[in-house]
Amino acid sequence: MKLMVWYELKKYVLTKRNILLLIILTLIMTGVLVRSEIVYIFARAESRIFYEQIGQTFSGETRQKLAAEREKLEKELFDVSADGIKTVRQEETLKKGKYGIAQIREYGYLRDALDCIEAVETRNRNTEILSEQMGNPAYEAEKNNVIADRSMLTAAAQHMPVGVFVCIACIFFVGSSFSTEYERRLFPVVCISPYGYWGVCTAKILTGILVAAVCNLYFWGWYLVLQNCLVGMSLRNWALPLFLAEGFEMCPSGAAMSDLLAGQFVSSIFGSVLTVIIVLAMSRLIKRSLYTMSAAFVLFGIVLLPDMMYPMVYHNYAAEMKSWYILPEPEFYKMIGLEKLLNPLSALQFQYYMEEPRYMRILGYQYPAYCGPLMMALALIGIVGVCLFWEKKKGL
Amino acid sequence: MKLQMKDITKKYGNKMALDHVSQQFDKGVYGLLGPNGAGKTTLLNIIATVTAATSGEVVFEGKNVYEMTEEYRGMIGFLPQTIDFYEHFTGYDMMKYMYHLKGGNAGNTEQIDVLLKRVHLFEVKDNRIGTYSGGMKQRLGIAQAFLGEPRILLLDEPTVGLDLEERAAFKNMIREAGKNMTLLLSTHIVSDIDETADYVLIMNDGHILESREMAYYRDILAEKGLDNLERYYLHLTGRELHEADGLV
Repeated sequence: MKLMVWYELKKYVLTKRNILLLIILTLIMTGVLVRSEIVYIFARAESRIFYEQIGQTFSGETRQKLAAEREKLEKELFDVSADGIKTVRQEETLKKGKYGIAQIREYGYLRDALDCIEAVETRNRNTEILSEQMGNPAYEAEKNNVIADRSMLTAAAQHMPVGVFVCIACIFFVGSSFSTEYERRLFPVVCISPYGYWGVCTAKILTGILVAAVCNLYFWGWYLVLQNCLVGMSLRNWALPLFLAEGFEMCPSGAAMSDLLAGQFVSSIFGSVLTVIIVLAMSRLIKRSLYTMSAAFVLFGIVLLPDMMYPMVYHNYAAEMKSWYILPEPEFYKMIGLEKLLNPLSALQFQYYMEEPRYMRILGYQYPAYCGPLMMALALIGIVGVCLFWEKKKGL
Repeated sequence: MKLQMKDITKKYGNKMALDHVSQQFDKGVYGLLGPNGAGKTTLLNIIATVTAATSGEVVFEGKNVYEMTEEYRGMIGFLPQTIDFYEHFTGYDMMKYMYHLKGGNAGNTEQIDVLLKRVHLFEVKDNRIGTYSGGMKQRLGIAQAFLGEPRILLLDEPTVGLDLEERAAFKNMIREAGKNMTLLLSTHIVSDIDETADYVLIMNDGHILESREMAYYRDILAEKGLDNLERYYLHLTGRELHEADGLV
């Protein structure tokens, strides 16, 4: 079977066209990440200098010290009129401040650091209430005192499109798995062998799973390298608490940035394997490579549309976005809630499940919300298996 | 080595491709002769289990072939009516892949080398199939059908695209192979089976009109004063040549 898988890879995966596609997808993913994080990328060097100097933890004295520094800078940078209107003193903005950074930007970093302390203290209060007074099992009373660059963590947490690129790569690489045999009129010939129909199908499925695994390792590996180079997400930063990233203030206790990364990685593997299985089935049923890939991309786009509209349209508070609404807001949010429970590929946006503890109820029992997509995926794989079996009954 | 077709019917929609066909095959070369649409390809596809019959069964040594599917398919060599290959593979890669599929040891390439020499592709075995002509691809198709020493060999229009020299080499291969296996050769070119077939099945409109030993047809030709099997075949299928055809 190992040799069969090798030949399958040679037939339609290890081709010049696919290598070129891989390079193009890598460049596109790089471009998407750079575009999304461009503001932070430019500020990264200075931000690092600032946070290295103020330390990784805070106390009451830290807060007072930072507040005093900020007040001092404010007096140096701004003129305040009798009406209370602040005007910037241009000649002071680019002078180096205490931390060796232009004063105007140091002012911003001090504000961010104080916001971080405020967010940590809010978190401590909230978890105490949620665990001790409300008895929520997802939380325990926390006594955090970490201080970190929230912009960096937010950039990393909110920009994890890797799973989508993995699925796109899988569609390209396995879309012609069965169809190329039919287009070359070879499928009957390869099945008329001791391996037989099921042996050939098994080899193709194993090849697809291998492709999914390798694509995940490749794209996620590249993602980690990029995030380290672009925004400075080192191993130490991945260990920081997740609640520091904006949008994740209510994440379960104990969740770190690495937990989000691990969840995204696992859901990416899960989503890409499901994509592979479905694309293989489409390739078997449609029997034409171009039509298979086109149909797969259309299906993929439809399935991901709500998850794309949610952050880009409905969660975007720009007034012009309202003209893009396909449903009124209340109905859309109801649909999203249902979609997150039933759509197996919605798990590619694993951030949703980490933002706060989410559950589903089935027959009176409570389960984590991601069980819904998992069960749908298993049902889909079962349906696909039946289709393949039914197709086989009709002949090769 | 008994292969039997028992009352096989195959319908595609309203069209009857095979109509209650029964036939037994033993060792030897069986030429399937008939016009386009006679049911030759359908018959071969059913024996190869590429297509399921609408009714009836195919039995090999007493067992329904669908009860022994993978075991039965392991005994078959098959060349479909049209075949293509992976353009970026070399001829040798393709043969090694097919040999592995048929249970051969990938490290033992002796059989592959012999077959490639027989079809005159050994010198170009390391060239990409994308550079092969149509005739070369057809010869590669013939070679892959012979891989693994099949017990049943099914060849559908195998001489399409072959020149005279290649046809002669192919006929030699058929004559040798037919001594040890059941070989079904479907064609509408009579000269393909004139010198090779031990038995001839004449088909038309989904029926087997006649199924006899080749020796019988030689006697018939002599008796009727016909100079080749083609005229007898045309007579049997109700097609007569006219002056306008320029062949009378």
